[in-house]
Amino acid sequence: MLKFIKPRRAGMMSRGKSQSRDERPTNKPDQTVTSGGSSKKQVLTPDLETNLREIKSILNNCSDVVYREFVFAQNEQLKLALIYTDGLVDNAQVSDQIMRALALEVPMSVPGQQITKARALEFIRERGLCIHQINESAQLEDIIRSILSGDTVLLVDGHATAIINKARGWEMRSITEPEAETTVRGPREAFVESLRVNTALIRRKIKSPNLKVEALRLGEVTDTDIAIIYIKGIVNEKLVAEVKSRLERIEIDGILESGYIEELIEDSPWSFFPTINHSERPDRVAAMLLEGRVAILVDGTPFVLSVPTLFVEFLQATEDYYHRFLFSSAIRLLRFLAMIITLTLPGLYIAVLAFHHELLPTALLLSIAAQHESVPYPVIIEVLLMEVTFEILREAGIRLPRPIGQAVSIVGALVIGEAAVRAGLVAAATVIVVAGTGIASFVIAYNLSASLRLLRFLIMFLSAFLGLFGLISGLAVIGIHLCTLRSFGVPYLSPLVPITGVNLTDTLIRAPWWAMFYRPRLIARQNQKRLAQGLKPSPPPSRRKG
Amino acid sequence: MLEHGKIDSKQAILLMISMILPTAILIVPAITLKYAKQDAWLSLILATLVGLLIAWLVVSLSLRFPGKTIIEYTEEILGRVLGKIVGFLYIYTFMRIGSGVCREFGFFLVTAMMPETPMIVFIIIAIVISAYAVRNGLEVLCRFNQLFIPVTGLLVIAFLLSTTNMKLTRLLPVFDTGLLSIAQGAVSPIAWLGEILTLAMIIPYLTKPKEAYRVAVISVLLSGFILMINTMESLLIFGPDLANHWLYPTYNAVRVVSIANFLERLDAVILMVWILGGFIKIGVFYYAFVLGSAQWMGLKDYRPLVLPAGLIMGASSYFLFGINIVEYYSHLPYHLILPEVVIPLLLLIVALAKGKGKKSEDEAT
Amino acid sequence: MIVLLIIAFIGIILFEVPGLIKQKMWRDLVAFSIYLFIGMALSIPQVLGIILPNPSKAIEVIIKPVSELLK
Repeated sequence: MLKFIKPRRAGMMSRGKSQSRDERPTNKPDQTVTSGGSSKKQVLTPDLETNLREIKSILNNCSDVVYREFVFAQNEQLKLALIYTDGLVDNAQVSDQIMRALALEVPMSVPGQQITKARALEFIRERGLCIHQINESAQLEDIIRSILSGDTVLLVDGHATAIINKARGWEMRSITEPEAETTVRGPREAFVESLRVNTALIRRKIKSPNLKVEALRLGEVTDTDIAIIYIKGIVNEKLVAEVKSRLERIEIDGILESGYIEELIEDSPWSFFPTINHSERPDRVAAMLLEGRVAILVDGTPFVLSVPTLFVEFLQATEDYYHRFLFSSAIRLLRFLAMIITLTLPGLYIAVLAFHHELLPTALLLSIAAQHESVPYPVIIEVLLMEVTFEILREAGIRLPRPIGQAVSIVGALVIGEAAVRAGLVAAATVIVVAGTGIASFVIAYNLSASLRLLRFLIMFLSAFLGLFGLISGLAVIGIHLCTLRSFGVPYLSPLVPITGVNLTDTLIRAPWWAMFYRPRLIARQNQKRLAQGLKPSPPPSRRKG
Repeated sequence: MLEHGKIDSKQAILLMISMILPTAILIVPAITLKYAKQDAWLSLILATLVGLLIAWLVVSLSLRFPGKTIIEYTEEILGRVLGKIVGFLYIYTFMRIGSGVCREFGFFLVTAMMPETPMIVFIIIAIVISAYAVRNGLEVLCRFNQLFIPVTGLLVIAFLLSTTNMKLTRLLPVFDTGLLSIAQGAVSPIAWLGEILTLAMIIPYLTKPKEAYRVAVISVLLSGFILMINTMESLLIFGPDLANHWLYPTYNAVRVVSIANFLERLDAVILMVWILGGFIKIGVFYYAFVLGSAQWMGLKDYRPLVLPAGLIMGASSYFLFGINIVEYYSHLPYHLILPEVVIPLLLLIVALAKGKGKKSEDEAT
Repeated sequence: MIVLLIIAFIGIILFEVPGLIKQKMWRDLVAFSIYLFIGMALSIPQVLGIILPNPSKAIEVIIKPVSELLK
């Protein structure tokens, strides 16, 4: 188990899950003394030199760690050492608020000779540092972790306690417009890679004391920060407990993206369908939280997970709630249609052409038959050829640098399609079907359309062998499968199946805001009411009379 | 309990309707029209009334033994040995109907859709798909049914479009065929509506078992009503003499629809819905068969039996029914009278005589 | 055809039996075996073209008087 981390630690893992997060040893690459477990945890000694030597031995060959030794209040007796990771700290703060304050500004108010070695720590804590947030720790492990997370550690000679200054500041992407979920109307900000910024973005939307942000660390090597966010009072407490327990059983070397966590906590790992949704929009995540869901934020990625996830979510865009409801409903129905087209159109085309000619009007049949005359192989091969080509083009469009990508898609789609038809390799109708399917698949949320794209091939094969019967059988299997799925205990297809009447207002249609009284019943079990009755606007009574 | 899922009354009603109708709408009109001619609608009213009686019988019996299925309470009523024998008869009945449906399913698809494909292919696929649903339990079966119900809206549209071909005069002369013919015409719809018997396997898993009466009555009434509409459709379009020569008049009634040379070939629609309905119908009997067997043998779980039971059903669909499907249709009703009417009635009488089961329950509802 | 059938049997056995043994559900295993055996006994003759006596016929003999009565 977990051999990929370090063989030497194998013995420790036998203690398994009983180990709490904090006791868990961080990975100490060149340390041979510790790894004895919680009972023999290393602590600081009062001697600065020993401490520094110890830390340096743990962090040797880490050239990005900076050690800065200086004296406190111009008093040679009071030696200090600053340790931090270059690039993760705010340089201005470290030099001004810590070093300058301690070395130069303290002696201006208090003569350095008055400070004894024994009182140094207290002095520094209470009068010396101009840092908004400090912690203290004597555990070597905590100190090392803090240094590597971007905190500045201050060691004081004669004290076995270190002061941890939160003077973090590193280069990061600024908040930009969402790339994956673009909208016409709605907030124009997206999450970024920094967890703190992301929690702040949510907090800016929900200023309630009930918005809880619980912290967690995952990844034995990467030690990634995770935040579990929910609104107490709306969320189902059991759900929070379930999310926590699923997260806590994760033992992995590293978490680099929320996708890692998604695959480690989902209900049906073998399913084609995504049972955990993600979003990069703070407004969408806030809406999810308001409906009683739990959001999982992972440091280092702008994609936030939200659970439980319903199937209909993938047919809904954030924007639907901002536009007027009639238009939103129409668009949702359109997406539903697009979903069905994505899944079945190529299959239907194959089934009809291979088995059920009688279903087509005669004129259309003749024209398609004429196109197929020059095509030397069965419809299924033809469609497969085009579908695979289309998928390759799409992948090429995503992987290539953006300007080239667009060119490839256009060239590929237009030129190859046109040439293939001219050369008699495929019928023009096939190109239309494949292109139509491809475009329809862009309408649905990406992770659902990915699963539908795969299932489409299953449907195509079934249709090629058994015609319409195969198509229906394939749909039935998918339907039954969808009925078996659950996401954190909530049936995946709800509120459609099993039907919950009050929640149908926000499924394939979107009812006006004044009619969506209830939160999803199966998600927010305790606190369902979302808005007051009778909010439907109407003209003032005076005008009604006149 | 073997089944952990629970279903609510609405789901149960939908499941019962999907269990009765898929084969009934195809086969019953021809048989009823053969006997009752233009008075077929009277036959169906009669059949619905009898169906209600059967439903009442089955539910009264089941409610006396809350939390138990028909396989379990027969033992309580009749004692161990006799109870096991009757229980076995019911398991056999469920298996028989299930495999019969498989056979009808395959036969219809071969005749109507794909004459070149061997029938066994359809039967195997139908059983595999139903097995998938059954293995996942009653809840999933019900949900799948619920998922598919909106698609039946297409059938309603097909029916509405076919009204353009109808002539009301084909109902005349009313009451011309005589009581006996009407009764004969009612026999086969009674057999189908009597499949409500399967409810006796499901009542323990209702969230509110007391609503079982409502479930049974609404299911039978709706099924009877739809069946009547459906028979009338064939009757009004083709007249009694033409319709009864076909095996599947409903299918033909939709085939002849043609609106503005554009909306035609609606048979594909009816096929689609019918295939899905067939999966569910097979699924319900499959489920009853497997759950019944597991209870009969006192197992902890019914899931291990699903696949071998499917094999038995598939093999029986060939083994139990000869090549001649028409003969099978005309015999079928008489096979079903025993388990659907006679045995439940006897069971109820014995239970009353011996004073078994909860009496107050019966009187209260 | 017979080969396909045997593959199906082996598939079913491989799918169900390991789980049953692991959970020590012996009663279920016996029931499973009985059903599988019945399934085999019914399907193999079908595939080989052997006609077995049909129990429906026997039941028909009992039922015939009733059906004649109603006809």
